[in-house]
Formats: sequence, C-alpha cells, structure tokens
Amino acid sequence: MRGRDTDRAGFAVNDGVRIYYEVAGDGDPGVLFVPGFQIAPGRQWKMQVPFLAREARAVTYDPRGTGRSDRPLADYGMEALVGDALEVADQAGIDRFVVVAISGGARPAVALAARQPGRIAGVVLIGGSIHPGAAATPTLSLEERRAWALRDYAGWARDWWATSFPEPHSSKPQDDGWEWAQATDAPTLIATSVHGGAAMDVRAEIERVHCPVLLIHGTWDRRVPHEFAHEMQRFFPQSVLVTIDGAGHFPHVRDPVRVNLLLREFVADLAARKVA
Amino acid sequence: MRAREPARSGFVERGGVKTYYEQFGEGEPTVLFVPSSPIMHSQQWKGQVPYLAGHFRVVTFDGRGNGRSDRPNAAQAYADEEVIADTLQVMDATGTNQAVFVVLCHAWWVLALAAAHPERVLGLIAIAPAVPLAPVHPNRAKYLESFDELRDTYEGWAKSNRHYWLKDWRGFVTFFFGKMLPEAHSTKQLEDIVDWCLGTTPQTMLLNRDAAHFPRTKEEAEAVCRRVRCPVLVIHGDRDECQLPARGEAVAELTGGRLVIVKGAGHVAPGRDPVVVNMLIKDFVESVAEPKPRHIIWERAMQRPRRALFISSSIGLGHVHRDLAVARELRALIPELEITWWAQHPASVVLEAAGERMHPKSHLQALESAHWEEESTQHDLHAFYAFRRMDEIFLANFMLFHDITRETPYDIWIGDESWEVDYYLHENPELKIAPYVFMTDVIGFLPVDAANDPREAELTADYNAEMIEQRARFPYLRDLSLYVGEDYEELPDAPFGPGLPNIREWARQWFEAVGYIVPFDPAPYRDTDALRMRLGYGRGYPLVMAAVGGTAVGRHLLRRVAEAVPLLREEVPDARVVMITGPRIDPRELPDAEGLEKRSYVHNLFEHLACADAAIVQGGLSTTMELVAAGRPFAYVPLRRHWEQQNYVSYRLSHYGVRTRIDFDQATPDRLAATLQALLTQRPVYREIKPGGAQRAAERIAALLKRG
Repeated sequence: MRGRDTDRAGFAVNDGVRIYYEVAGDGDPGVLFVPGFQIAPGRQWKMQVPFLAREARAVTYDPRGTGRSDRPLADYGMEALVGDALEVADQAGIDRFVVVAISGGARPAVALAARQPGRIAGVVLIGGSIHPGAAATPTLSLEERRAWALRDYAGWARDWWATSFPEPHSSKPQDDGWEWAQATDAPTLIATSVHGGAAMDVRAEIERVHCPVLLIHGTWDRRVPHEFAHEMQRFFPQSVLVTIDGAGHFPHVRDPVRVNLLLREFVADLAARKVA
Repeated sequence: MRAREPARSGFVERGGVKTYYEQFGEGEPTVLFVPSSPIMHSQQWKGQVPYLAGHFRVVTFDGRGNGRSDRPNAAQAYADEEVIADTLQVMDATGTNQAVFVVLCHAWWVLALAAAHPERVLGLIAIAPAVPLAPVHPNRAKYLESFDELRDTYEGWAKSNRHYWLKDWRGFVTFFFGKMLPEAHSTKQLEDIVDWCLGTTPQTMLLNRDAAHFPRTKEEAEAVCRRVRCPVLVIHGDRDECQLPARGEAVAELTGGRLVIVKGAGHVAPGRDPVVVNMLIKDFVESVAEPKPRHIIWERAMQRPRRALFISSSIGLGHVHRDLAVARELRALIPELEITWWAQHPASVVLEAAGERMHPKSHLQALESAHWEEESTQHDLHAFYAFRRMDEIFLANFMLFHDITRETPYDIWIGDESWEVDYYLHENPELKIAPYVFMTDVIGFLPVDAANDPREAELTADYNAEMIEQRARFPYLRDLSLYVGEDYEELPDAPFGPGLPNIREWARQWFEAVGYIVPFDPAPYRDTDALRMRLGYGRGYPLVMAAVGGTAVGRHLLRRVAEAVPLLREEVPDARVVMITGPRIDPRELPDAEGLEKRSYVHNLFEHLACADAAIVQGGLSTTMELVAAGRPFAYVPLRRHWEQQNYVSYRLSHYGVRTRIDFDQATPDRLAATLQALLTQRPVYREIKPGGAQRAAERIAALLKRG
C-alpha cells in the first residue's frame, strides 16, 4: 500500500511522447520532483510525497524511458527533458512551483529555472550534477558497462544500486532500486545516455537563475562526489548547501526524514517571502 | 548588568527633541525594535536584543517621552507623524535603509509607516497589535468614556482615569500591568515594567493621550492594513486584557500575514514568553531576508560519535573541579565519550588548563561572574536579588544554548547548577531534545532577612513554588536529578515558603543523592609536609592560606586579611600568609605586608589549601568542603546576604562539624588575626565525607548513555 493515494494521474504529451505523472495534494506552491537517470522512475519520491502533499501540491512523473512513460530509443536531449517537465507542470496545474531534482535531473531543473524565472520559485538539487565532469570515475569503461548491462541486466542494476546506497543496512532501498530498474531495460537506458544524459552541460545557463537554491549532498556519494557540491555552491552564490555526513547518492530515499524537513522548510520560507 | 551592550549609541534631534537610539550586532537585515512609548522605553526588548543581535543587526530607540529621550511639553509633539519621523531619522542615523519592525501593542502607527514607506519596511511583526479593527477589551471599555471625569471609586479598572493617573501613577501601572501579566510567577516582569513606566510621568502620558493618533476608525484601520505590502507576522496571547485577540486576527487577515496565537499568554509575550517570541522573530526575519550562502553539515545518526555537553555553572570556581572529577569518572566508564564544555570565565580557565575542549561559542555567553561582581560591594552580595536581576543574562545564555544544541547533536546534556537551562527548558519543554541531567548541591531559595524584608520572603517562596510546580508538571524533563550531598539532613530543615513542602522532604522525593563530590582523594593530602615540599612551600613554619574563589566579590575580605597579617605576626612571628586572589582580582590592589605573599592563580587550588596549617576562606561550598575533606583547620566568612552561603553552606558545614564561622561585620583585622592564631594550634575532627561521589554520579549518568 502507498503512504498516500494519488489524487490524480495522467499523461502529459510532449512532441508525441507520453509522460506519466501523478499529483498529490492541492496546496500552494507546487513542488515538481524531477527525476534523473531513468533507472529510477517517479516512485523514488515515495518518501517525500505523502509528507509534502499535506501542504503543497506534489507532482512526480516517470521520465521518458521508464515506468509508464513512453520509451523512445532516441531524443533524451535537454529540450526534450525540459519540455517534459513543463508539460507535466502544466497538466498538473502548477503555475509557480519549486523544482526538486536528483542527480542528472539537476540539468533540466536548472535550465527550467533559467528559462522560466516567473514560474520557478526555488530549486533543490539532491546529489546534483550539472556538467559531464561531475561524475565519479568508474572502474569499468563506458563500453564495458554497457556490455555488462546488456549481458546481465540484473547483476549490473543491482551493482548500480549497491554503489548508490553505500550506507550500512540499505537492503530495502537497494531492493526498491532493483524493482525500479525493472520498469525499463538495458537498451533504453543506453539510449538515454547516448542521446542526451550525462553529456548535457547547463553551466552556461546558471547565471540566469536568481531564485533560492538548496543543495543537498552526501559525503559518501559515489556517483556525484561531494566535492562537486562545493563547485555547485560557487555557481549558485545564493545557495545553501546541506552536507549529509555519511549519506550516499539518494539521501531522499535513505535519509527521508531529514530531507523531508529540509524540503518543507525551504518551501515554507519561499511561501513566506511575499513579493512586494 | 545588561546581557549585551550596544555597539553604538547616540541621539537624533528633530525640532529640538532628542531621541536616544542604540545599535547592536552586524549583518543583514536590520531588526528595529519599536518602543511602546511613552509608557515604556527600549529596555522592554531586553529579552530579545541580545539573542537577535547575535544573528542580525539590531536597532532600538527610546520614544520621545521616556528613557533617555526628551519629554516635550506639548500634545502635538506626541502625534504619530512625529514618532514616525523620529523612527525614520533613527533609521537614517544608523544607516538602516530597510528593517524588519517589531512592535508590541503600538502597531497602529507602525502599520501606517509600513503603508506610507514600503521601501523602509522589509517585514513587520506585530505583537498584540492595538488597531481598532475589533472592539476594545470590555474591561477597559467600561471606563473609557469617563476617563476625564472624577470618580467616586478608583477600584480595579476605574483606575484608568486622568485623575487617578495624576494621583498615583505607580498604583495605576502596577494595577494595569498586573492585568497584562495574568501568567503565574510574573513578579520580575511586572517589577521591570513598573520601573520603565516610572521613566515617564502621568503628565507626559496625558499629553500623549491628547495627541493625534491614527487611525481613528475601523474603516481607516482597514485601509491602512490593506496598503501594507511587506510580510507580516502577528503574535497574540489569548489572555490579553489590553488587546482582544480578534484585533490580531484582523491585522493578520487584512495584511495577508501569519497569525500565531500563544495560548495562556497575556499582553506582554516578549517579556513573559521570551524564548518562543525570540524563535518566532528569528524564523520570520530569516524568511524575509535575502538568502545567504551557507554550508550546513548534518551527520547521519549512526555516524555520530557519542557526545556529551557539560554545562558547568561559572559563578565561582567551585563547581568546575567537581565537574572535572565527574567527567573523569564518566570517561573511565565510556572511554569514547567526547565531552564538550559549555562554561564561562573563570571556569573556562580551569578547563582549558586541564586540556578540556571548550565549545567554540562558549565565549559568546553573557558573563555571569561580571554580573555578580557588579552586584557585590563590601563583601555584601544579595545573592537572591542578584540572581533575580540576572534574568536577561540567563535568557541570553539559554538562547545561545538552544542554538548550539541544534547545531550539534549531543547524546546527553549534563548541567551542574545550570539554572538558565533548567528554568527555560521547563518553560519550553518541547526544546528538550537530549537526555538531560541536572545536578546541584543547593535546592531552593531561603530569605536572608525575612524579618526586615518581607518582599524577599515572598519572592523566594514564589521562585520555590514555581520550581515545585515545574517539576511536578514536567517530571520527564530531567532524566536525572542528582543531589550532591550524602544526606538530606545536610539541607535546611525548613519549608520552601508558607504552605510549601519542607526542603528536605521534597528533595528526598525529587532527587537522588550521590554523596558529596570531593574532586580529589583526600588521603594523600593528609601528609602536609610532603605536599608542602612538592608545592615549594617548605616546612617548619606556620603556613596560612587565604582564598576567595574565582570572582572579585572577595576583594574586601582579602584586604582585611592583608591588614591582619602584621597583627598575626606580632603573636606568631614566623607565620607566613599566602593569598590566592583568583583570576579576577589584581594582587596589586591589595596592601603589601611582611610575611604576605599574593598570587593571582595557582593550579589545583585545593592542594595549596590542603597543606595549610590554617586557612581563611569565603563561604563557598566547594572550598570549605575541600578543607573538611583534607581535615584542615579553617575559618569561613559567608557573604553577608548570600542565601546559599548564609543558609545552605552553614547548615552543611555544621553537619560536618565545622565551627569557625565569622560574619563579615565581625571580621576585623584583629578578629581575623586572633582566629588564625587559634586555628594554628587546632586539630579539628570533622565528620568523614564518604569517597566515591563523582563515581556514583558518573555511573548514574553513564546508565543513560549505555547499557551493560
């Protein structure tokens, strides 16, 4: 059973690609949860939605390439991802909203904030990555990893999640991760990376982002190492960085209470800052 | 003593009227505390300023008619437009383009200012706002129409009258603010407010009453509120007899602001509920300020080392040694425990010398020992009144404690007579987020002069009653209450006050006795010759030690001891007197004498006292009990009006068989010399202090941290 039933679900259509979204709560402002790598669909926010929906309108969606959304084998570039997010926001009926993004989801989130300053009230980046350099150096090459995923998807995906949750006693999040991974497959994941993904760079757009920014980053993040959080704080001079000592790449899954409280406080502060 | 002094102060002048302002702290934004003038002045914010100045820039001023500002003699001088112009000029003089305004009651003109000058007002906190959006409180309304008429009686709210004001201004404000403070145990707040009200006159208040104030009608008030564009927070007590909460609700609604109702609170929440008001102000200011880049580190729970925060009260040096002894025993039981100390000068000197880790923000505390020194003259410290006047220091230090315990998660808070922490935690029990241990050797207040000062007897009973009620209502707040004593018979056999429990009986019920804590094993100190050789005093002559603890209160006693030295040496020519002045008394202030050596600080003071052939000390508990433990002959001179030294310490010392108490009035150089001469020939027999107090305390504390 879910922690909270969805109030409304549907599909947003962006250039013919259907994006599945869910809405919970109807408070103001909206909160749009932007996913990153397609190995994790909208359900990764299951610990946030029931809490935030009490006071805000929480909107989650499966990114193109997984879950109930379409899985094209190309077209995972910036324009497509930003378009998906905006289309979902429109369909969910959130006009001005906070964007909460994980990992590579930071790129469309930042682009959105730069291009739609009137709509984006604030940005939260969790384990955020804004350019191709901000990634841990893996032991295997890109080709080797792709070959492994195609040959042994379960083994590769389980390893991916084990690396993402280095915290002790993470068996449940790791099992959840494997379940989420099964909402897509290796060829689609490879397509997301070949046709967009980690190659995108939004550094050039950052100077147009003026809204409040909250960065949340674990010191044990083995996907986007913590040093990049400091780099990001230099890019966003207005930002608050919350370092979670001992957390991996998905603190919203593994440390949900702390992350939920941070999100609520961030959203509440924005709501209090009435425009003069 | 004030908890925080201004960084800058000065006057602005408009049309010959001077307005006094003060500025505190740095950083953006500025918080401007508006006075409820002329009835009060800027001191009304004494509970807020020290805390908020630690986070923001703070400006206060005395409105015309009170405090250090002028008192013009014409009604029009008190019109709202004049006060608004003063406020803007204070802002200009302090370089304040914009501020968050905080106002109690007198919100009507601040709302007008916010509506007319939106560029100057970043946000507005209106506490119990007086704006005619809802009816006047019925109690006050009854006599409003006939304010100017002579009345047959001036009982109750009928005191709200021109003629009564002029006849008995103190009587009026005492009645009025008594009603404003319906909360139990508000004696200090009422006393403060009456004092501030006496800073103005009924004549000034009547001029102010006749001045032009805005808005007059509900419609005007609504229009003003609707023009306010900045974020607004309204705080209102539901027992407010000055302004009905409906007024606060209306202000919040019309300005689109947030409303916080404080249930059970009267009109003066900043004074009576300062902790919650301070936190609301801080949150609000942060929410309207430009976000600043920050880096916050949060440790996952299982990442955290075991940490204890040891709050060592610093009024004297007495407690810090026993706290170190407890810490030593605690480390023996839990070697990995990281102990951080929350203490002030002079205790911090001892802790640093012992290689202990001070909390890096310890030094930001308002200095308690400076307050005690300021309060004491001629070996006379009215400890209870001094304690009572320390309210703003206690509050400022509690707020700091609150902040640092949210910044670092501790596994336990251990407080040795941590009065401010204990009191404000009971006032705000939801702020307890760690196991909390309170230890003390003194329980309750007793008057020192009940016959001549009935007020003191009333107030000490009220403080005791509040403590008893707090403990009964929130017993879970302390996980451990440790009584530093072996036997409850060491406590005075007296009630806490009329109709209140007996001190011994109540202590037995609410505390666990761990025994007296002597910070050292007295056995090795019984061989005074060896000790004297080790400390470099040598043998073969009578050695007298004089010490007065860590504060400067004992300066006058030391002076008399210095004057007694030549007299003593007439009788005992080879006697040598060593005087330890402590870190806060300069030895050069005291007279020199043949055979007298003055030292400002010695490490491990008790070793030096323990090798003396006779000692003279103040009535501080730790020092006297250490002398009992070491079996040394000594005389003690309790501070004259110190409730603890006069009552509790004397009780305990007589329980252990100490007989030589000298009252300061009798402590002439002659008497001191004679007493010392007699002590040099004595071998006293004291009741034994059972060893292991520190270990027993540590065991009880460790059980909260670890099983098995």
